[in-house]
Amino acid sequence: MNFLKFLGKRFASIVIALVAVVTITFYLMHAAPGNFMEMEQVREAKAAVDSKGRAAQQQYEKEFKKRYALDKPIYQQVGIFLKNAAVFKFGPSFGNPNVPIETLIASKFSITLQIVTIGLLLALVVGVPMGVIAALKKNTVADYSLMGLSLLGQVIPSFVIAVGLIVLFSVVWGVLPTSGWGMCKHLILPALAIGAAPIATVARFIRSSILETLEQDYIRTAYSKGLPEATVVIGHALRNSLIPLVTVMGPQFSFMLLGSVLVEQVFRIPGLGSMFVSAAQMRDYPMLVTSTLIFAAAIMIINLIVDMLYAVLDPRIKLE
Amino acid sequence: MATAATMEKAILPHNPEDAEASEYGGMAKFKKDFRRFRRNKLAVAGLIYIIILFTAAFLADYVAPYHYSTPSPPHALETSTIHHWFGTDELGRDMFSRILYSARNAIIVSFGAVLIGLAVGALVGAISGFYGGILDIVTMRVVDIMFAFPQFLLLVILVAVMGRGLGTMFVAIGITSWAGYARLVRGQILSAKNNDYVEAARCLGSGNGHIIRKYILPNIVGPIIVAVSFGIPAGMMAESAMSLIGMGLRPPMPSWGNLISAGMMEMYGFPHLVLWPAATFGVTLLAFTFVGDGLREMYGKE
Repeated sequence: MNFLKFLGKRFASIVIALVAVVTITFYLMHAAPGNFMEMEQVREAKAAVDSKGRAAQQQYEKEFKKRYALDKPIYQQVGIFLKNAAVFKFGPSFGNPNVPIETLIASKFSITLQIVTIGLLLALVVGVPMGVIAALKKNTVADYSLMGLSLLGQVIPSFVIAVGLIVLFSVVWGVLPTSGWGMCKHLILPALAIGAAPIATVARFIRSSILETLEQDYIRTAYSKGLPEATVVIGHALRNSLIPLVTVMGPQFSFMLLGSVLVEQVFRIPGLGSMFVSAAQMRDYPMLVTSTLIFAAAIMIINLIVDMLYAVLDPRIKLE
Repeated sequence: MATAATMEKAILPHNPEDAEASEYGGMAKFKKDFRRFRRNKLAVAGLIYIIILFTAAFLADYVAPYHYSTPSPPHALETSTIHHWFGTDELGRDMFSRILYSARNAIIVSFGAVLIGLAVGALVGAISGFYGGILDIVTMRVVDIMFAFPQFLLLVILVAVMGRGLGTMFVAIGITSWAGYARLVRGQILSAKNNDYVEAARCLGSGNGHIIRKYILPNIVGPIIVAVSFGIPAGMMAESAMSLIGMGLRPPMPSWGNLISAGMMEMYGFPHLVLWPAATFGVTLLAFTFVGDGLREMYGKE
C-alpha cells in the first residue's frame, strides 16, 4: 500500500511537471518572432500557392492555421495538445503533414535509445572493471592513468570526445565511418562518445566505493579466512558497491539523453535529438513541443524507476 | 543596535577563524584559505593557465596576430607555420587568432550568464530561505519546475525565441541556470539560520540586516564561489554546444563550437582545423575543473 501511495504521488508530480514543461514551451514558442511559413525552405515550397495570388495565399494560410488549431488562443492550444498527448496522439507536424508525429517519434526515439543504452552498457562493462583495477592497484601508475583518463571523460563534453574519436578512428586509422546510420559500425563511435562520461563516473565511483568498503570488518574477516585478494575484492567489496551504483547510473541516463542531442548532430544520426534541433530551427512547433515532452518524460520516468529499483534492491531504503 | 553588537562580542564565543578574520580583516582569512588552495598543484596550474588565457583573451585585439575574420586566400588551409601557429582555415584566417577570440567570446558569455543566473538565483534563494513561509513554498515549486525542464532543451527553445547572438546567448544561459543558484543559496541560508549563534544574536536583539551581514553572508560566500567556478565552464560548454548546432554565435564571430563544426567539414584533409579548437577547449575546461576542485577544498569544511 505504501508502495502504491509512493507511486501515485510521484506519478502525479511527474504529470504536473510535464504539464508545466509543455505550457512553458507553448508560450515561449508563441513569443518567438517568425513562423514556419516564413522559413526559407517553406517559402520555396509555398511559391506555387503564392503565385496564384493573394486570395489563394490567404486561404492556404487560414487552412493551415485551422488544421493545427493555431487560430485558437494559446491556452486552448495547450489544452488540446495535452488532451491528445494523454492518449499519445500528437497529430502531424508542420514539416511532415502526412505522418503523425507519434509515428516519427517512435522510430527516432528508438535510434536515440539504442545509442544511450549501448553507452550505458559500456559504462558498466568498461567502467566497473576500470574501477576495480584502479582500486586493486591503488596509487600505482595503472591507478593514476585510469583515473586520469576518467577525469578527462568526466570533464570533456561528449561532442568534443566525439570529434576526437572521429579523428582517431575515421581519419587516422580509417576503420569506422564518420557519420551515418543503419549498421552496427555506425553505432560504435556515438555510443563511445556518449558513454565516456558515464564510464568515467562509474569507474571513479567503483574505485572509491571499493576502497571504502575494504576498511570494513567483514572484509578483514574474509581476508583472515584466507580468501585470495581477488575473491575478497570482487566477491565482497565490489558486490557491496553494485547497489548504490544504481543511483549513480540514474542521473547518467538523463545526462546521456541530453548529450545525445549534440552527439547526434556531430555524427549526423537521425535520432530524437536531431529532430528536436531541426524543429527548433524550422519553427516546427508541434514537433518541438512533442520532442521536448518526450525527452522530459523519459528523464522523469527513468528517475522514478531508479528510485524504485533502489528501494527493491536495498530493503533499508524506504520510499518517500 | 550598537549595544547589541558590543554585547555580542563580549558574550558570543567566536570560533578562532572568525576571531582571526576580525582581527586581521578579510584579507588575512583569505590568505590563510589560499594557502590550502596552493597545496593543490593541479589547481595552481589550472589557475595560472586561466589567468594567461583571460589576459590574452581580454587583450585579443592587441595580442592576436590577426583579426578573427581577416581572410587571406593565398594562405588558406596551411598547417602550423611560424606565421600561423595553429594553421589557417579554408579562407586563410589564422586559427590561433580565431581560437583566442573564441576564448574571449566564451568568457564573455559564461561570465555574463553566471552573473545573471547568480543575481536572480541568489535573490530568489535568499528571500525564500530567509523569510520562509508561503513565499518559500511557491518559489521552490518554480525552482522544481525549472529543474524538471531539461536545461539544454530550454536553452534551444529560448534561443529560438530570442534569436542567436552573443547577447542572447548569455541571457539565455543565465535564465536556464538561476534555479541551481537559488537552491544553493536557500539551502545555505537555511542551515546558517538554524545555527545557534544566529539564534543567540537574535536573542541579543540584532536586526535582520545585521544578522545577514555578519553571520549569514560570510557563511555562504565559499559555496557560492565554488558554484561559480563550476558555472563558468558549464556556461562555456553550453555556448559551444549551441554554436556547434548552429544556434549560438553568428559566424564569422568564432566560438569553440562553430570552429569545431566548421572544422569537421574539412576533417579528412586538414584535421588540424578541428583538433586545435577541440584540444584548446578541452584544456580550458580541464583547467577550470582543477581550479574548481581546489576551491572546493579551500572552502570545504574538514
